[in-house]
Amino acid sequence: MNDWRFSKFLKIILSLQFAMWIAIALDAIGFQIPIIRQFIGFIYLTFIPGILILRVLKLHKLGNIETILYTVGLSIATLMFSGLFMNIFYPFFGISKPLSNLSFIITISILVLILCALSYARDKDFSNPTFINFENLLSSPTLFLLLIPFLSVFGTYLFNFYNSNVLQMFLIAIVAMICILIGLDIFIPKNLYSLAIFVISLSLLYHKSLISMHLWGWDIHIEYYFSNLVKIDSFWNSGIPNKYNAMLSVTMLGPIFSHICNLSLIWVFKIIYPLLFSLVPLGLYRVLQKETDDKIAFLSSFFFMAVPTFFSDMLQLARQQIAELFLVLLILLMVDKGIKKTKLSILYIIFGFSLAVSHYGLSYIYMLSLISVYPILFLMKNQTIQEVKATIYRRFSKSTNNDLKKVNISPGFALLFIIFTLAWYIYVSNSTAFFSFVRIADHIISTLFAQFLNPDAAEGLKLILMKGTSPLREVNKIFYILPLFFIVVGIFTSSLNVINMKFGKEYKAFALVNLTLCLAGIAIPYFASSLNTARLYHITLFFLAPFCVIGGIATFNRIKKVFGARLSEENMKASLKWLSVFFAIFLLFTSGFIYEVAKDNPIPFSLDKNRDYPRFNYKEVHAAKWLVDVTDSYPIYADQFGRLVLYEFVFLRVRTFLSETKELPSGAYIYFRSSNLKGFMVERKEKVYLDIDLPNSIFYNKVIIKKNRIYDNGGSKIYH
Amino acid sequence: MKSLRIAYPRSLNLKYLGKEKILSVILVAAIIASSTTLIYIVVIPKPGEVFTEFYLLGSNGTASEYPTDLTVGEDGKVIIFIVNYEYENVTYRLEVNFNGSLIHAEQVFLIENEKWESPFKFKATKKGINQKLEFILYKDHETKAYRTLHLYVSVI
Repeated sequence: MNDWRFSKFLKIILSLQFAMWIAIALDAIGFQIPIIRQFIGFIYLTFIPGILILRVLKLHKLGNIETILYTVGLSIATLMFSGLFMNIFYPFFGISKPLSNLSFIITISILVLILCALSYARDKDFSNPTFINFENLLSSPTLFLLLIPFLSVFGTYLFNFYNSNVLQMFLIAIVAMICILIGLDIFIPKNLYSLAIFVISLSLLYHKSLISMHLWGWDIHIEYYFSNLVKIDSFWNSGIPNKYNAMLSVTMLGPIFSHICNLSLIWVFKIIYPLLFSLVPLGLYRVLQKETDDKIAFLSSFFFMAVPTFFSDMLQLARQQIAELFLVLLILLMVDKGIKKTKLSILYIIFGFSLAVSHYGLSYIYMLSLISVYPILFLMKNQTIQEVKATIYRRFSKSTNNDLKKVNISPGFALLFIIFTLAWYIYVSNSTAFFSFVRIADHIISTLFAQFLNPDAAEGLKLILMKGTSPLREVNKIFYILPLFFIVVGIFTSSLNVINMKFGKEYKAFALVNLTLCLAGIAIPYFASSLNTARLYHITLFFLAPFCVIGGIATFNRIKKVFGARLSEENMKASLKWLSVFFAIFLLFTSGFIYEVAKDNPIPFSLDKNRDYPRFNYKEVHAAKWLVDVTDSYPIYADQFGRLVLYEFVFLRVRTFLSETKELPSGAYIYFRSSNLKGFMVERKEKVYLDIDLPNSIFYNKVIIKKNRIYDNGGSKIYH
Repeated sequence: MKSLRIAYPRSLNLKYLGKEKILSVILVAAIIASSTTLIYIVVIPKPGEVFTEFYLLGSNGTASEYPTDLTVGEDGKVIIFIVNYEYENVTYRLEVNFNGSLIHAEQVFLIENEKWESPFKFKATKKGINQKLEFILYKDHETKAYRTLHLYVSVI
């Protein structure tokens, strides 16, 4: 759309702007048309500011995927920083509630109109439209792919209201089948790989995010609390000493979408955030398509999505979902050699700063990677090393050294990113995000030598050495360890150019840094556990995923070589077929499909409604809200899972009771969720969640037995 | 200057359609059906869980100042609440026992989503710690208690 003739482009933008105003006006007079405002609001916020900025920057002929990704990234960045601007400056003009509904509507509308004027002034003469080919759109592979997200929505509906996981299971089987179909070159042509990636991504995310009518998981309840606080107060208090509060990805973005789309924050987190996050694998696919080829890019992105952190853990980390979108955009800029230097720098700064205000953990890892990449790039340029490399290439590879691409990431940007990130974390929310980094670094350094490779301290190693609870779990472990092996093999074969790929210097350097991070997660005490091993592994896959595929190809070829086969184009294709089957089975394991078929407990909560998990029914949420309405300052106690739903409403007053708790402060309230009423509670011991028999616990017999029961709704009880 | 052009699909006349096109037509129909169903389930959501809320507040209207420390002859006051989220009209029976003796019983009829509140007064008649004041709610004509609440009252 940014390549269209300006008059047509402007007509569409202004039509959307008017449609947005009309939808808001209709809502205001009480004439609500379901879905319309949410749909228009989402399109308006997600695409309009970004596409206008692309025209202001005169960025054209970027390609469909890049246009969509840059547009969304620029829009999200614009919304976050506009919110920040409003919060800082509007109070000077006497506006005490700078982040109110009306304030957002007026500010964003004015912003859109200003951007329209700017883009007209800068880009009115450009016109080089592309054609929409409806023939392709109506082809059976396209239509088949477009149907899959519906399966995901209906699957969760069936699961939520009728306790059946049939459609959920069917969806996972279909997604695994798509991987094999593409691996075998059947039915889905190359030009639809990107659509396949997006559809798989969205379906996998929705098949979990839409479970339950409420939020589930851990961090997301706290994110909801801070986002809701901004929505209620119409003001962001940057002084609240909590690292979640420092992240504009939750404190600004959530309220903006909620206000403009007239959608509750719960559904903003359950529908809109995963939709934005589903673009991450698409971005990764595009990056890898440039660095490898279509098939390897597809399989690498599929592997990235099949690791359960993507469709499970990430859904309960709204801020990291947005941060990863900016990370993939930064990687895309790094491999995009078609954008002019000034424009590239502008985009780098926008996406870099947006990453910094979106998630501290990911920003620190990116910062660490940036710092480490430059010495590697410097070494790559070194004359002696170049000569050694050339000798090695002559020995192992048929091709020549192909590190000919220009380096796209400047030290100036790295420095600016580091300064901005540290400044933001030091000055916002009482430096909580900065101190948590210092604390973790201190802890790691102080235990580095004393507990190196100690499984009790190094969480990654502990997970690898942990014995599976059933034969199937042991097989699953092999499916986890093999990709790690493939990654190491992939990095080596790529370094030796055994398999000729188009990787640029920076990508290789980032891959080396991320491999080091991944290995550090296994060996260095408290390194992985500070972020969570699974999350660290997931982040490193942004750079390591393609090496898993390349390593897989190399391994399959090595096995074939034993039987006398040569490393040929045909053998590589055969390896990719086997790998597609491997990744499909990998997904069947990680999604819980195989465990559900074999009835091997525990089965993921998205397939098993009886499994105790931090997901909350209507009665539990209702009781939590009641507590907020009728109590004031006293602390509220709940078990490990129960406290999470309370976080949403009264974060600062929530405490956790343990099975051995003998006494509570006077005036305290105790919240029992449905599982507590069934007789068990959850407790965390040595990072493992345990089910404890509640009626036989010290807590029940010393504390609960003496308490007044003041609330009962059948699914939750409250004691005082 | 080029303008946006749309390449329309060829005729959808079934006579000329191959297997591929028939499959496409079926898939288009499936997408239309799915979209319609999706809109239906969003616009007409399934009713949530059915339940009754039963709770006590102190005489100040908050979840505090419950009459748990009284002297002999003193009146204790609480406010009883029943909220009907059963998506149907319900007749409840409320019973209050103090130290195992029935001290109050009444019928409460609530229509869907109706909230009932009633101040309740009881007298502390004998000394003793942790005397159980129990509020039992029965639904319709069931004999099994539907919801129960209690306060432990110490009388000096």
